[in-house]
Amino acid sequence: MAISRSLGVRVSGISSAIPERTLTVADVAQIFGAVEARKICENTGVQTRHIVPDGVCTSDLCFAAAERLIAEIEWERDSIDALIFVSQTPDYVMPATSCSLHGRLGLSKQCAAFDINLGCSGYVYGLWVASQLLAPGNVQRALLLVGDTVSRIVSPEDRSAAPLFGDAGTATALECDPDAAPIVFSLGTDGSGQDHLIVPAGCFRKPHTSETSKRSEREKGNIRSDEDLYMNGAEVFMFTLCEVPALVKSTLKAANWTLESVDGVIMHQANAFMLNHLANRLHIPTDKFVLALEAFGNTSAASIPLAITHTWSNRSPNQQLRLLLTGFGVGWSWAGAAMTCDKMTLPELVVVPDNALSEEQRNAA
Amino acid sequence: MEKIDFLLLLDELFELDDGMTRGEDVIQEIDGWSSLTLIGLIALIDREFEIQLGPESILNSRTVNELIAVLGDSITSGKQAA
Repeated sequence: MAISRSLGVRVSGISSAIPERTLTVADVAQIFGAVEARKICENTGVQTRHIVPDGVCTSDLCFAAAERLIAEIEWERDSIDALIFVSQTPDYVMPATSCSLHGRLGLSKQCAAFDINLGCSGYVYGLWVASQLLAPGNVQRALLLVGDTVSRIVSPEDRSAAPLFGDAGTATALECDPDAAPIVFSLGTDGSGQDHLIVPAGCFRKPHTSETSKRSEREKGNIRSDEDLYMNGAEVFMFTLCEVPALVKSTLKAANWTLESVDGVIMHQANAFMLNHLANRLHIPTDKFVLALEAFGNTSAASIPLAITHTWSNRSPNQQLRLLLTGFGVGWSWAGAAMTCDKMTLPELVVVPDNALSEEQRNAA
Repeated sequence: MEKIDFLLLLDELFELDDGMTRGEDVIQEIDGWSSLTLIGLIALIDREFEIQLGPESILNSRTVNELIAVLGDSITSGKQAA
């Protein structure tokens, strides 16, 4: 695995935003029946998911998270040197959503902005890229906006995907700090897995036609189109068994950490069955293993920062936290980070009302 | 692990009474077979034998006995096994 260290970089704050509207197990039961809904939800560990209303984008959630974070950490907007947006649900094919967000957030013209197209591994990749950009006298502050609205690319009648995914957007502030502990990364990719977790059509390889958008019955009665997300759950599970234990071990080794010295292990919140299996395999103590799926579902790229907000937003900012983060999935792509958080602001979860989002959109348009 | 114990684990996985699953059963025709139990079976094999057997290998095994053969020395026939 590729090993990388970022020196003199502090994560100053993380905030997360979710839409107000929810779907519950009862909604899953309406589509698939009560017995199947119970089995699915027992397996995934998901009881409730927050879902955006029609027309609301990942950027709208990230915007709300960013506004909250900037206010809490009291950053001057013109002190932000770089903006990175990580998502697989951007506003447009072009321009980059980071450019749109740059305008909405009122950042300076001296600010660099670009997108990264990754999902489950995206938060850790984003941390890696952002922290590598920072250097004293150069880029001193970066804003990393990470999220997804997978509900918008899932067929409601596909039992392998619909009951699992929720929407969220997050913001992470990074800045130069010579006293900060190094952040250590371990990263990898296996593109041979691309077909197991994919939206096959609607972009350039297989552009939209009336056929690609037509939903029809696929395996096991699941109904979707080629423009909906397809997930082969068994292949995803197999991939995690093969790669995640090695990812955890290589990240710990590169940081010279042990599981005993870690305060929290935060994996991409894929589903509870998978995470519990991995925790058992790796002998991760339950009090250190973060499970934050029940109220949110799998929020793709947002799941790690959302889990951090959910677990630690009430703690004192001065409490040091040694966190092991691992993101893994669509690609296949994976990345781990050993990160010591000190003086990190974690605002309470932002719940964005439906009407506020529509207003936001009107302003953005 | 003895074959009889493996069959009992399959009973548990498929939510069947003890002793219901037999070596000659066609895996994908077992009551309770689903995409979720396929994942459960991958997890069971990983947990019990530390073998990462992919979905394709499992789906290519027609019967439970064929799956046991794929798992090789991990499962012994034992005296009580059917």
